[in-house]
Amino acid sequence: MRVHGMRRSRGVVVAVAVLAWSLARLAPVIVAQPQSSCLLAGTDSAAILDELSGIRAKDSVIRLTGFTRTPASSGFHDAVEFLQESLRQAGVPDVHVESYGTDAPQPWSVRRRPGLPSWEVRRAELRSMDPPRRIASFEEEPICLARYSRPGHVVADLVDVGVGVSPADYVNKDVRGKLVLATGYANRVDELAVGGFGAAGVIVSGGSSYSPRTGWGYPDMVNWQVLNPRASGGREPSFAFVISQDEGEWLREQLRGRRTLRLEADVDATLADAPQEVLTAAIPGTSHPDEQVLLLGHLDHVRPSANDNASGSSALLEVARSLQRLIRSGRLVRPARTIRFLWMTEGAGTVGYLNAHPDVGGHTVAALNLDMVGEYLVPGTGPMRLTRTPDSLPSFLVDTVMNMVQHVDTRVVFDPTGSDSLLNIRLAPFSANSDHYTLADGAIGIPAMLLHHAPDPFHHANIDGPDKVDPTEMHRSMFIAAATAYYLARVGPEQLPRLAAEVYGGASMRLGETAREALSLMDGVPVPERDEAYGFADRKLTHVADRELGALASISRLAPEHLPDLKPLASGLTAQATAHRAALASRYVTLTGRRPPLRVLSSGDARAERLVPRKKVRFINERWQQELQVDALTASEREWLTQYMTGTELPQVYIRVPEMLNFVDGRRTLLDIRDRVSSEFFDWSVGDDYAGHYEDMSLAARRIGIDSVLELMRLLEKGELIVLEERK
Amino acid sequence: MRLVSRLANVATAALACVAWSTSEQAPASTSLRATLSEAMKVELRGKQALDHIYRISTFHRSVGSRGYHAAADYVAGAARAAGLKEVEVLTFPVNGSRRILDTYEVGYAWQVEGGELTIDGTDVRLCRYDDVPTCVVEYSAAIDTTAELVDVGAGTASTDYADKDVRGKWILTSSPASAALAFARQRYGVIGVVSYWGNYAPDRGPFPDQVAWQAVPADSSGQLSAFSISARAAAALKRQLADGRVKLHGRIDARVFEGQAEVVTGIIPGKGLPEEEVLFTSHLNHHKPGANDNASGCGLDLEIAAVLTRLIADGRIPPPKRTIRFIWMPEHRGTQLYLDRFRDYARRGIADINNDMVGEDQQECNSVFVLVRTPDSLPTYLNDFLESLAEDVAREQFRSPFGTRNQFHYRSEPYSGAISDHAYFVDGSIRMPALLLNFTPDNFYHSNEDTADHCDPTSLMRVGYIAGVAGAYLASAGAAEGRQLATLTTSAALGRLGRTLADGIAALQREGDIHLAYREARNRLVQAGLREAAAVRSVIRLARELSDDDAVRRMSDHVERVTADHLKALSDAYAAACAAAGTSPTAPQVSTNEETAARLVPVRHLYGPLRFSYLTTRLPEERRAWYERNELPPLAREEVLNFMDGRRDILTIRNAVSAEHGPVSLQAVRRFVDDLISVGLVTVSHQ
Repeated sequence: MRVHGMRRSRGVVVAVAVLAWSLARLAPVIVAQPQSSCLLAGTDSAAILDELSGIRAKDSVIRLTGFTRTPASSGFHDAVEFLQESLRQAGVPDVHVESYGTDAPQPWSVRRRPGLPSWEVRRAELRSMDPPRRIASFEEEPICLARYSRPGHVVADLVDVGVGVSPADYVNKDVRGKLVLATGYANRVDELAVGGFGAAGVIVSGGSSYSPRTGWGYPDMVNWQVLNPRASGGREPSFAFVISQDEGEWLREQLRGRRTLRLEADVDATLADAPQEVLTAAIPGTSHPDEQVLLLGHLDHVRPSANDNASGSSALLEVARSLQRLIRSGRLVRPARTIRFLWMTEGAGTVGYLNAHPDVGGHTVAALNLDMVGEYLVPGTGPMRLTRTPDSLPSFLVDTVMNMVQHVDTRVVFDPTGSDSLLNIRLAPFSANSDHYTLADGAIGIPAMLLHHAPDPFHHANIDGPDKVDPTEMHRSMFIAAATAYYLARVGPEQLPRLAAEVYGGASMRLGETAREALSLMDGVPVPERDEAYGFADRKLTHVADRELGALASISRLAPEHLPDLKPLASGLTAQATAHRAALASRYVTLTGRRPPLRVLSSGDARAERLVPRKKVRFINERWQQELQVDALTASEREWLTQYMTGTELPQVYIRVPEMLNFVDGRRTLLDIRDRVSSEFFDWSVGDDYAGHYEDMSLAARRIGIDSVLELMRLLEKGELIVLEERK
Repeated sequence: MRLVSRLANVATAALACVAWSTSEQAPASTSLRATLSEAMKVELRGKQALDHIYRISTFHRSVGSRGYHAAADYVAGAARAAGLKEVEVLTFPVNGSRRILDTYEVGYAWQVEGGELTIDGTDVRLCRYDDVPTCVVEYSAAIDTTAELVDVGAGTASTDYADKDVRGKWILTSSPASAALAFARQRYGVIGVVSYWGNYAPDRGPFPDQVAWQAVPADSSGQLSAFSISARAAAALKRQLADGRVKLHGRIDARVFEGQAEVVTGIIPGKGLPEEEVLFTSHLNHHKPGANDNASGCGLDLEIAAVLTRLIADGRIPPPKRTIRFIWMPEHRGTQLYLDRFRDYARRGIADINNDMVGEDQQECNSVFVLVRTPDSLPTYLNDFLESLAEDVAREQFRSPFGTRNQFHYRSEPYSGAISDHAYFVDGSIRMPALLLNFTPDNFYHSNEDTADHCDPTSLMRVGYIAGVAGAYLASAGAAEGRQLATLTTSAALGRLGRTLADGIAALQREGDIHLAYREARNRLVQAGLREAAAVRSVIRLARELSDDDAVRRMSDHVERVTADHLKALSDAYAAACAAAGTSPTAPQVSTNEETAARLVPVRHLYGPLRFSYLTTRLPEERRAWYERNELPPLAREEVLNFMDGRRDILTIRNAVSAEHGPVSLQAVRRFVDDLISVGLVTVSHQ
């Protein structure tokens, strides 16, 4: 699905686009627009589009894919050095590497947590002796050794244990001292086969580690797998080789044809505590250098990991180079705010950076996370996805980004050796799959979006090579990032009415979508659920209206002292919401012949309405499980918690619980928080999630049982993360 | 397309009936090939080679440029990491007209910093160096000019310029920039050329965005500026021109300068015969990305080096008796410079395996693998040896687990001239067996679209097998291996002789002078017999004791016997054809000219191949003009020189060349020899 606003404005520029079409393939730059719908001035957007080169960015992708970019390890360091040198050559200011040792302060953490260790592999090979065959070699394809594999040298027979993740797979099999061949997730196979049954090491084949469908049609694909970096249950993991489905079949064929197959596994690797490196650079702002727009992308992952995320890392480099060059040459005015670039380890590096700069949320107006930004649109590849900020953090950022998307979408941008596919984009719900998640956390509060492609059939596999990176798509992604960053770094009071109009337009559209969803939902449910559906739909309309008013109000972040009068637009949004709610009520009357019901609170609801949660300590909400004082909980409480977090009671529990915490502000009641998170994540306006998580949009999927929420919050209070206060 | 190999199989079957003893074939010789073959199949990592290719393809590798230097630096580092010894980057000044290899000039270096071509007054950019490195024609001079554009079509004839005022303007041409520019600048004073010439049809068929790599002569530095553009860009320009005047702004930031050419080399030292060398060559220069051409050869040689050194270190294959040397250099010029400095390869060079374009995804690139044989002047076991290894691949179709599952298609092709660096080694003054390993055609050849995305670890592994097994085998080959190679060569030779006989008989059936046809067919068969027997005996180079080895002698004798039988069969066919035509066979007449030529023995005083323009620029106009009639084609000229060994007389040379590239007339050969004498490259002795 495309965003409607984009469809509308497409017609406006059709004439120009047609004119441009014949020449467009020649070079990535195109004809200037007489009247631009872009938030940026036409000359500015044209200059940015012109300076960026998808081919140059792909060169960097090629370089980065040459490094095995394991966090805190030499390959990661080499990648940092390459970027650092490239940034310096491009004259980008303020290039430096921050290094966080294991003893670095962790102000965002209640409990000290160990960082990721370094993992250096000198050699790892798996061979069959007879017939002679090199089954896996780290040197050729480092993905073949599960990350954090421990050293070992084993010459042993191979035993096929099927999936290998349940004790039943080992019945009547003697794996002691032997190598096991399995298809399950390596870490689990290691726990069972080596930890439980005394095997000497693990070989897993096939594409079952992430999504079953990733293995389809790619019999040579080798999935990326990770073992526990730290001892677990008093036991260090062993080693695990990961091989393709075809290679696994070869092994099974050998086992079928003979009684034994002897293999030699040799792993020479070291784990050690090591500092985390974060590379940063910044184009300083003129009048508000302390305020910044943040562009970030994770640099780590196994070789090659081209789209994930050599693409984002290289895009950042090219954006930094281009903006710097344009600003230095006077083609762009130096912006008021600082534009900061960040390359780090996914997750751990971002948390490290936040710990080193605990106040960064206060002076960062927006962040854009570039992760998997260069995909060729081959069969199986999803569209470019832009994830919204969470509903707990509505922001002007969404409509700013979508405006830049629209600009690049209505131009024919092709790089000479790139594809000539057209842009396929989707605004996606807030997601937990990369570093924007941490930045947009309620504790940090940076409006952050993710620029991403999903699904990607080659994700986390050896075939995510540079050949999968499309210079054209890179160019488009880079424009969106560069234009958004430059605009937000530059925007001053005089441009805010225009931005407010942009937000107003987007908000109106989303309100309208919510009305469609609300009306359809109420019409679609069985009669006994109709009252509940009405209540849900009405609350959702209210919630979305609040969210969009919040997005409008967020503009104040950009000019607290010179804020334009947003009241008329806010009134407009409120009026729209009121009209939508009235339509919903009217539809209810038509359907039932009754007046819309008043809300009836269950005893749990009533209890939740009296409770106001407040955070007791400072922690990043999405990391709450690591911060919880589990020792304070009884065994049965811990068991309940595990069940709740891993069971099926609450769809999307991993992101909805942190989002509940994001809404905790010491004023909202628990009922309100539950209601808001119930409304979030199942938007028809943003469509289903690629992983199929949101396929079920029924009322049932949206319910969040209040009793469980009450229990969860009680345990969080007991675990010393929050305080539950009775409302006065 | 494996006709040749099918014939070889037939010939092998025939060999079973041949009565020579093979008892001398020691089991050890079988096992060296088997050992190498098994080890290489297991150990070669096509993906590793691809990683090198990706890396090298990020450098714009013009000779003497920073990009080339960075690539050389990378290769030297990787060669050291691969375990090669004595890795060094040799430097050679490239400073103009300094002579190398007797008739070549060293030329210049070129550095490009940027460039772009835009339609003046618009935002339309036709190309930019940053995105399309090939758009700035190599050795272009700097320019920053806005001028009108005139379409001159081909632009290589006066008629293309009739009624057109091109002075001080850009011209748009479908010809290579060098051709049009040389013509137009000289006569009409154009300021620069915009060429949309492509390596395929002018419209590039399904590749309308391809921008061809082109070069203009470096020796006219400071004179010439040229852009290469895509067919799509050219079509857009033509549409604009149809509507009226078009002005282009062209900017090229580049310089031609006196710099350094760099040649990277490293060795696996030989134990026993370290002086003797087996070479792996691959050219490192070319435009960015130039992935298949020829980051692929460079990357594959790095992988072969790594695998061989590791296998040797692990004791899985024997350390080589001879030194294996890897050379990464600028194409042509690098080899010229290297052979100019190291002039003793005639003595100590065993073989050169030249990997040039060896990574093609055969399906995507539409490529067949080709082994380019040595010219007839250099008969060698090497041709059949490499073909037998290619046949291993075709039979087993093994692949890289990280590459395609393409079917391997290959051909063996006759020598085709100086299309790559092997050509310098096979020259008559060096006579070192050298083969080109190459995928051809290639949809993306010499264009900005020759990216590493079109390389295939499977192809790399397969060519790596052929090259790697061959190199390691030859480096360790002794008498036993020599006999095995002689057997292989004999079987293939018999197939070729049979084919030559069949062709000769077919020639008698064609219309025309039956006596002349017989004479040429007979000559071809005689020359083939000489060539094949020499190819069998060429294994003697591998072990001195083979020079009086019974097995080898029996095999070469057998080839000669079969040739004699074939000549008889041809003669019988001639008689039968004459009878059918109502004429009678005529005995060959030796003309006076032939008698004279048979008494003249030319002696060559030329090290390295002849740069043809060296000769023509020194000849008077009327003698130079004769060559335009092409009575002695370029490959025949090369062979005339190659066959000059101080023993062959001019008639013998003519007969050999006529069999290979003919028929060519004795007069043409004499004329060429006379010209060579006139410029002092050849003297002649009278018998």
